[in-house]
Amino acid sequence: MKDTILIVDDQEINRAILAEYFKEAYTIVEAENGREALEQLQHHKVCAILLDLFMPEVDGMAVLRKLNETGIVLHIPVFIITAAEDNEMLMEAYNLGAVDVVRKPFNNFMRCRVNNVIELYHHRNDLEALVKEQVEKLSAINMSMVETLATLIEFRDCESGEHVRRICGLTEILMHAVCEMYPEYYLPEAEIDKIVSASILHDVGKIAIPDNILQKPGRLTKEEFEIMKGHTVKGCEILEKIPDIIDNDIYHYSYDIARHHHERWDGRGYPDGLKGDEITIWAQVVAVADVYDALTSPRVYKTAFSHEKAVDMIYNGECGMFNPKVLEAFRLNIDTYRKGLESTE
Amino acid sequence: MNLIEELKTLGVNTEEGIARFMDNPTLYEKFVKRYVSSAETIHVLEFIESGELETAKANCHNLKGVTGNLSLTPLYDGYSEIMALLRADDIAGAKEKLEALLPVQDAIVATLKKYL
Repeated sequence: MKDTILIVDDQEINRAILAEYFKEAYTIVEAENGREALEQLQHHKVCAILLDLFMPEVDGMAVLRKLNETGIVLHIPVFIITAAEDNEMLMEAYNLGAVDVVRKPFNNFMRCRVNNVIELYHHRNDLEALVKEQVEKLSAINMSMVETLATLIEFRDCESGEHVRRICGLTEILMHAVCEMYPEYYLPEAEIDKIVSASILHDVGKIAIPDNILQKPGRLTKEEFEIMKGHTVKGCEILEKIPDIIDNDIYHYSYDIARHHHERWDGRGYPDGLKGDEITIWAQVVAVADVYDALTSPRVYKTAFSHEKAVDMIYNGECGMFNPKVLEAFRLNIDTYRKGLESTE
Repeated sequence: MNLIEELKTLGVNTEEGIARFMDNPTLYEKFVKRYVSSAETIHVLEFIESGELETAKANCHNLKGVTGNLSLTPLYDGYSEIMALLRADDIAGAKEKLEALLPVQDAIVATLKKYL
């Protein structure tokens, strides 16, 4: 199938001449003003745009501005066709992303120039698509390695790996809620995605905790609890040794969450005794998600508490103090999370 | 004489025009004949006289582009000069130049019409 070129010129003769130049190698779509050109772009996938500047209704410069705003100029070469000698205007066109200026009267070289640039853009677009595909593949492999690692840790902890998935789910809901409800905690969507991925490794340090403590069916002694608390710092030590398997953008979230998901709002958590917003909002959110899931899940040392009981324990401060704003987000969204869980079960 | 030869006597650079149309004289003739319609529908003088200078400039610019592409050399040179005069706000000069150019355009259009 032929590629398509969009020819935009208010003079029918000029369009016809250009069409004649390119019709053998390309499908031609025409527009007689800028408005029509933008409409044609909605309906056709074009490989190049030949754009006259002086046109009624919407002129070529306005079209170029629109193509610049939407980023189309990065992927489709735009050639300005003009008889004007206004260098200032042509410089503006270049600055807006025009790839070349084709002067009227046309000459035969113009066809070669347009063809060459189209070919270059094809190569560039193909390469960009290839790189994007490879990055996505690598990222997927990376994520699956991280998930595998987290699941292995869960298995040692006599869990099935579901805990990690539930933490991710609740972290995602709570992060969105906190970011929407409290401007001071706002983060863009892309950052929330990274935090959710990073939450997978919150308990990575448990791999360094001996089995007799990790899987002890009864209450831990003071000494054992001190060792257990060390999973936060151990987690960071492990992450420091495997930075290459974790995406750079996710690494610092993983590190922070692994270390600080047991800190508490009143400073009575561990390992660093951080207080209030000294604890990052993502570590605070994962802390609430982790506690809720631990309470409502059976563990070797306890049976599962009901949702109501778990919520009461969290609000009463039985599991330590949390940021009231995070708790409010939790209160307003926990039902959404539970409904989601029910539908996946 | 055929159309190409007649146009040549009127100063049209038919060799350049044919070269622009991939060395295809038939194709060139097909397109050059379309100038009749351009000349009859795109006016400059009346807009200069009515003081609508932006329209006059836009139309002059269009005719410059079309005549250039068709290698209608006397008209292309003429409209290029008129365009420069209009841009320099020399309206009287542009009008004078245009009044001198229109008979040349009429002669070319009359020739083209013979072959329609």
